Amino acid sequence: MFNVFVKSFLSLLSFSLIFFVFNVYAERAEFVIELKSHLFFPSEINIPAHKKVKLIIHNLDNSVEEFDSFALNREKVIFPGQRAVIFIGPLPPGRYDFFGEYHPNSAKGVIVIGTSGDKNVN
Amino acid sequence: MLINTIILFLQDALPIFIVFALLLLRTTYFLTENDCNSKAIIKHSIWLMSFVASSLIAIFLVFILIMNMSDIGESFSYTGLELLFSAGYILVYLSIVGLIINDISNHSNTISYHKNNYLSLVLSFVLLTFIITLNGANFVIYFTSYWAQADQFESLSVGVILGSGICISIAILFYFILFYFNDNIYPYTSLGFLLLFGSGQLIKVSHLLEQVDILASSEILWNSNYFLAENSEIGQLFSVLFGYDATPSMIQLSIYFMAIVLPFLIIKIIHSIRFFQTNVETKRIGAQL
Repeated sequence: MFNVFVKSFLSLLSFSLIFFVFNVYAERAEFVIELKSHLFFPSEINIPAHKKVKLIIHNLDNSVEEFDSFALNREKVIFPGQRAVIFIGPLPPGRYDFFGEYHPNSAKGVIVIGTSGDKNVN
Repeated sequence: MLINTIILFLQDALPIFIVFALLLLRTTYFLTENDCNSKAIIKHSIWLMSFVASSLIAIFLVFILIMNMSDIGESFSYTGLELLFSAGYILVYLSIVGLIINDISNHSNTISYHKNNYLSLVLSFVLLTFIITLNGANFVIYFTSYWAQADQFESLSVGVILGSGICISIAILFYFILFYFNDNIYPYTSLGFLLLFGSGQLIKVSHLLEQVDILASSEILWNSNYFLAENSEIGQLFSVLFGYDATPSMIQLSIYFMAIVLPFLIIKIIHSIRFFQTNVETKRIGAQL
């Protein structure tokens, strides 16, 4: 009986430790994307590999848009005139597509993760 | 646009239909296994009324949420929406865990099962309300944005009809397949699927918290998009049913594993406590004799 309690307690404790993998706050490189006339500006962004970066998407249109990316596992609704903040990474080198879910034919972009360098850092 | 509408139905409407099917199955299957003459049992009609009531309350909450979504999104340094949805999904998972623990740990004890039926009623109510609210909000925003585009009316209408048909068909198939499995293979199969669904909700929580840099991100462990693309229709279906993620990280895998193990741990603790209490009671009665 006591062994069951000890084992159960240790299992629950290890489960709860999962929730302590919170981020240590650190300055992240920022990249700004503007959404105008259902187009992303810039439509291609270069960011460094294996680093977490901050994307700020500013919706300058009068309609709602949803920033969506299956490759990045990110989606966020952005209301007219408002900003949204999304963190992406760390990711290996490659091309990661994103799009506006409500205007998928026009609002498209790609995040290019290179092997080195900090291009397009704001 | 048509494909987007169908994928939207799979992402946001299908979870609601799946939860309805699982709760309906739980109501029709488990309650008939018990003594129906007991006065403590909650009738099927009350369960159905609670489902309707939770749906109506959820629809009200959806509109409240949509009206304030813009302000919530800008709160807490632009993390308000993620925090709110994360809390909602965690509540969904905890309701599911509560239902599973109640069904499995009390099923052999008719009297306490009947008492705990009221707890199950409340948990089902909370589960349905939150799943409709969280998924319904995104759904409504999508449609109000699309309906504003007059040139998309035709593809949107076709998408709605197709998407609704797909969701209803999947839910009905799911119900009858799991009913068969419950009867012929293992009685708690449907509860297993409910647990997998709940664990999938915690994967959504991990995505949301990583998105706003609250949860640490780590490198992905594998990429199974070549095998089953996450953005395909089947991938979206598996994502809804089991929380399928083609590019999981170690943290997500750990969360998923722990989410599945936790109810069984709690059930073991409850059984151990009951066994201990029974032993103590038996010894006490033996000593009196």
